Amino acid sequence: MNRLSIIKYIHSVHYVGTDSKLDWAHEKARIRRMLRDPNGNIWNDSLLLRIYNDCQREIAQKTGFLEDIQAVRVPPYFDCSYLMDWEYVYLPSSELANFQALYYHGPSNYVLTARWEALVLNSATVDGEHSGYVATHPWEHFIALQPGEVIRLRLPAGFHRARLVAWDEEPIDLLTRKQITSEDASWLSRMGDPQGWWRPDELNNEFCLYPQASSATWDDTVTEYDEPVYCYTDDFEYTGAYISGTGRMFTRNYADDDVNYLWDWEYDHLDTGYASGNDEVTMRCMRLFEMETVSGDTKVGMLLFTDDDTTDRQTGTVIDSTDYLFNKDTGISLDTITAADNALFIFEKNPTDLSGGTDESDFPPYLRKYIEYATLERAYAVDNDGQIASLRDYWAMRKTVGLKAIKLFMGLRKTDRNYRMTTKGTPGFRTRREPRLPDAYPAVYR
Amino acid sequence: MNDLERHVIELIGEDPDSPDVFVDTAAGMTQIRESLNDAIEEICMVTGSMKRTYIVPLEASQMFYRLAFSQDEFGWVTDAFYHATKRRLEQTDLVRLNAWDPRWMQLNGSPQSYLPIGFNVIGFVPKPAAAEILELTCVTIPGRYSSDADRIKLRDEFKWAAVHFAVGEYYASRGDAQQAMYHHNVYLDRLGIQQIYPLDQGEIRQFRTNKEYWPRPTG
Repeated sequence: MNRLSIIKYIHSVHYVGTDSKLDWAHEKARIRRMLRDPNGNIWNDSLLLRIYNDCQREIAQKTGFLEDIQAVRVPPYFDCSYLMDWEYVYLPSSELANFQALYYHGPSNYVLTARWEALVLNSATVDGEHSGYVATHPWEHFIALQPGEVIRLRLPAGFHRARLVAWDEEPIDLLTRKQITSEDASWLSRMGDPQGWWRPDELNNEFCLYPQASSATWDDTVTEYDEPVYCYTDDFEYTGAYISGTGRMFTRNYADDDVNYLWDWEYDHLDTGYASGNDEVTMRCMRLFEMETVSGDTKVGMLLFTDDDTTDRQTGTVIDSTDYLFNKDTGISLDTITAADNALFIFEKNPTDLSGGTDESDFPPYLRKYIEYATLERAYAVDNDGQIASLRDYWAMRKTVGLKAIKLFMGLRKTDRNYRMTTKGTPGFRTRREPRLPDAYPAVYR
Repeated sequence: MNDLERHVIELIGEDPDSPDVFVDTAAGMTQIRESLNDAIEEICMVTGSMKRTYIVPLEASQMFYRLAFSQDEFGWVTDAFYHATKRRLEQTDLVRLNAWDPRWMQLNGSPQSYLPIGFNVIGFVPKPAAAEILELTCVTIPGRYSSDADRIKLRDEFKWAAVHFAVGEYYASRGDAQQAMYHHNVYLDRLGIQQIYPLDQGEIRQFRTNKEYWPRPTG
């Protein structure tokens, strides 16, 4: 095979349309193109994936680029509870929110429900006491019983470092257990508006509030549909009782041929279709916002919604979908995050590891190439038949330039910020063209 | 095949009118288009040369918004204007807000500043009391072009830089690190042209004197 043929061969194998999304399959193809190993003869897929996951974490930690904001629900929801350490590997997924309940007693390898049980293990007379209740799921502590243990809450997925933590829209401080226990003997049963937060350890993605929250509300819990409304295409789906509950047919039926159609122009192509200008003006629509512009009696969309659907439990982000905006004109879609009666985290984030296929990095698409450069650097450094020092150094240079570009980009995002050096107490800028109150007047925004 | 692609093909020794490898099809041009798209993204990211104006519909009592553009990618905000009060919003940050008023998240009213968080979340302080319109001027990272018919959203001064970026990547895909390094250095050199033609090129810099501009009668 001559050189040109090799190039053609690699080129043909690596075809990925530029309009396809930048998921792992696409990125892997791009990486393999640069490795000149289209079939994975030297670097196998799992190796490249592990290197990629390592590299995206490296870039995140070196730049601090990934930030996010999430409202953490209180009372918390965990997906699974378990007792013993050995159970962890048998849980459905480590990605889920797993909660180790009760007290794991290391010396005996038992799980205790109350602290006094340790006395029994020691063959001592049972004379202990355990004030308060323990729970197998933390939400049980919020049903007006006195907690007898710290209430652990879930940190947002991918949490790396906090920039701001707030309870009910007021910032709270990071504390340590030492600070709390040295100043408050009743810290475990102290309830009230949280003034601080602390982490029991850094292995589990959990945190605690101090004092423990007493004002948690249940308003934002998931409410299942009582009566789901289904969409169906053909009448038989409904009359044949294939769905239980109510439904709406989003197509129209042309009885002569017993076919269903969606648009008016389709009707024109049916047997006895009539030309444009007909009196059938009601078009079925596929998105809710289209309904606003449709005239006629029947407005039927394909998307279903419910006023009670306020929480996205997968991400932990509280989303108020009741007021969700479908904004086709501006090209901007918004989801809104509420912090009331919840813990709000603004935090630096670790990227989620990809598992393959259609997974996408947490980095925006325009930065993913730098992860690829770092992956190529590491791949060319692996001690296998593909190790080439010159290419390793070349991709290392590309990665370094990329890191500088990301840092420059992050600096440019602050270009609209007005900085000035002041001494304490200097009045701030005033940009409002309004009558001015004295500088000492309270609650003047500067 | 657009001008940039044609130039890349010429620089790597192919005949653009009768190419052997990079034929003028979506499949044939994939590698070059991806490299050019990468270059365009990087150039726009570090120069901020492309801006868009977006009208954001604010919701009452909602402080934080996650922006997702259907075309292009959000870069950063260069100007935020609140039409209800005809006021420009200042950029702010968490340190400043917490020092000013720890209860800043509870304030309702007309937004006076905006708070960028991460790469796609923005907050408005105070949170809007009513549904209103806010005009954001943003630097954007252009969406990736995929066909001859798509516009190349790149400032003219930088187009040859993008070509060298793609040529460098071609040589890297061939295993020729030396040539790849050479062309990438040319790319970085050409990208430095922004220092000669900065964004404020219309500004005429001159010395200023404290002397009066015209003689005054001394009586």
